[in-house]
Amino acid sequence: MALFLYGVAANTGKGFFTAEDRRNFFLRGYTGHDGSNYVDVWAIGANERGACWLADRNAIKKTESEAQALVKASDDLARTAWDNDNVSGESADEKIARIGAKPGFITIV
Amino acid sequence: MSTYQELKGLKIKYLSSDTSGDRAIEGEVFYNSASGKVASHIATGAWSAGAPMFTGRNDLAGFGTQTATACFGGVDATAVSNDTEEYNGSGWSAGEDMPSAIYEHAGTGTLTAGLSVGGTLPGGITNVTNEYDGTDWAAGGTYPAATIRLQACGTQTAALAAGGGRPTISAVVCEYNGSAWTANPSPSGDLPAAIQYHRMTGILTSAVSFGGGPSGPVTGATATYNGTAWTAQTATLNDTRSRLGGAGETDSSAVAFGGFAPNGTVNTELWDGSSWTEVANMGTARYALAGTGTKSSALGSGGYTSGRLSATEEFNLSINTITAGAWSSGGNMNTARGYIAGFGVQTSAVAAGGYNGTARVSNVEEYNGSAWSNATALPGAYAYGGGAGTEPAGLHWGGTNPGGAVNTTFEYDGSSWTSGGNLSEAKYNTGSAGTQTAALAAGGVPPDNTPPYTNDTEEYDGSSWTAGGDMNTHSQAMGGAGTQTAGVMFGRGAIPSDDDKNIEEYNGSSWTTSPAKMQVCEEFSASSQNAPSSDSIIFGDSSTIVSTEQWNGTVCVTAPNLAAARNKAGGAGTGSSGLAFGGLTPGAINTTEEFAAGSSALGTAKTIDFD
Repeated sequence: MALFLYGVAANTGKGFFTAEDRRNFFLRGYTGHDGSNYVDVWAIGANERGACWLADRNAIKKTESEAQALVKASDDLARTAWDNDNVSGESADEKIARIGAKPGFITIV
Repeated sequence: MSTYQELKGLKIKYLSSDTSGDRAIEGEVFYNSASGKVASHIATGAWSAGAPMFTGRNDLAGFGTQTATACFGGVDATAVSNDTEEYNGSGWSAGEDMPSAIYEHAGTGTLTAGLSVGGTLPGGITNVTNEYDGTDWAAGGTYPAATIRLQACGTQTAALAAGGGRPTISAVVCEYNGSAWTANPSPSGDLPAAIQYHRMTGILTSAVSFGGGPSGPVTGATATYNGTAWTAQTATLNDTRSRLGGAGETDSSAVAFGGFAPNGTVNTELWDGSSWTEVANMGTARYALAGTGTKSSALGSGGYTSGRLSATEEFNLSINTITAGAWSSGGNMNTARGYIAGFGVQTSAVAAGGYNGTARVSNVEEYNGSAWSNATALPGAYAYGGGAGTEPAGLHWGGTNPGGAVNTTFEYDGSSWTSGGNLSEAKYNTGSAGTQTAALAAGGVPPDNTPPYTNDTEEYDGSSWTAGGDMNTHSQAMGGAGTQTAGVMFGRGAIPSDDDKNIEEYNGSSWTTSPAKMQVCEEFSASSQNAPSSDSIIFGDSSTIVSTEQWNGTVCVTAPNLAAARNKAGGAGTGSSGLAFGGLTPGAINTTEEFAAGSSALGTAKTIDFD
């Protein structure tokens, strides 16, 4: 049995996941991009409560590779934005001091 | 002549409600006049999640109690490990490395007087014994034979070890007196059968061995030792297994959990000296884990199930219901952003300014414990600012606007912002602590952006800033907590440096670098401003790290993970009731997470029906 389930569901805020949920199953969220919009990507522990949580939130189920692709698309956008965020005459160190290091790629779970 | 007891029976308490507080006694029968029922508090077993270890690993060993454990060695994702990690009941901190990487060894004793014996070094099976005093490892007496997959119980000066592979599977029992091992001590003799991958708990004169696998099939075999002889018990584990965790005090008191049966199992069983009884399952199936503690208060750490685990779980056999600390989702902010100046408490917090991914913003929002609402904006768009105080009496200082670093200060009264005294110099990413009338701005980045940044401290008295003592490290982007006279700053020394995990404490005039270090987080780890410095939670280190840490005034330990990583997040609240909001992932996000510390509360009394 796979360790994790994957899905896309918008974090609606208070109550979207509770402390009890956190105790009942593994939950980790990532920012993804579906080509049009940023989306919330979730990796959930593959137990009954985790599966029910995904279903209750009308999540669009994803495979691990599909979920990873969504997160990578978001990373690509961030890296491109970083490349394009320049100030005339600014050194590399100054740029890092101003906006931080260039974002890397996130590997889900 | 008949006695009162013979005529009327035993007296029991007559109460108007269930017992509570220190009046609650396990097994004591009482009458609840409100419900009209006779009841009693019955201990039940339950697992709750603890903070994860730094490094997932299997075939590690451990010793200690649920609130003072060390785990060491094992196999992590890349290699055999010599790492030691210590658990204090809340989280893990780094201990002294073992002299050598090792796995399939045995551990017993306490955090401050522990033993590691046998196992496999990179060079092969070993007979090495190492002793831990809570600070350092030192060589102990050599085990009679190089042995792996053995088990040990007892104390550092009175230990018992048995079984394992030499590499032939062995039934040999050995005793340790604090300096030397004796094989086949009289009168105990050997185990009833050769065994490895078992678990043994207890003390030198009263122990129990359970589970394991001589080879091939796993077993539920149970053998007890009464100080004189080993006895093979007819009762066996209900769930036969090897490579299991366990804890216990005597030959009649133990708990077995996890193990290989033939895959990782969650099953937990209690031993009472004559039989095993199944109780609540672990949350995570696993084998090759470390087990420490006692039958009623145990700890399961690490292990393996389709991957190496860092998960920690606490077992409690108690009339109380133990609830683990956890982060949960809070209301979403109206404006996604990072580099926020945050202050207040979990149910009354303020997020001021920030960076939305493309520009600085002036937005201010207030949180009421469930939802964010827009409030009066800052007088300009500022990001990377400092913040302190409360919702009705807050402070925002420094930061950057589109023109660069600023030295401005703005005071918030819950509805509007007014100008306060200026900082002595423009700066951003200062560490923040204190109140509107007694704030602390530490370190930061001056306008020229040039490392090593500043180690200046400025103190605000409600109208003007004055110089305080210099930090020991030139730092910026720190998490800050505490007050102007008892402040603490976490992390982020100048880049490049090895001071990223430094902790400095302020007494109102000078800074002291703590001997403790942060465990995982390094920078902009938003924490609990205006909370006692010994009650802070630190988080928000990067767009990939979900780790959080708690500071108790002495040491940083790992705490339950955030659900989602967030960099440059805003923070408010306290260590036991924290709030993380916004941040960058690397794009700006608007989500909020609330931290609730673990708790213990008396469970519901069980009623006794006579029908």
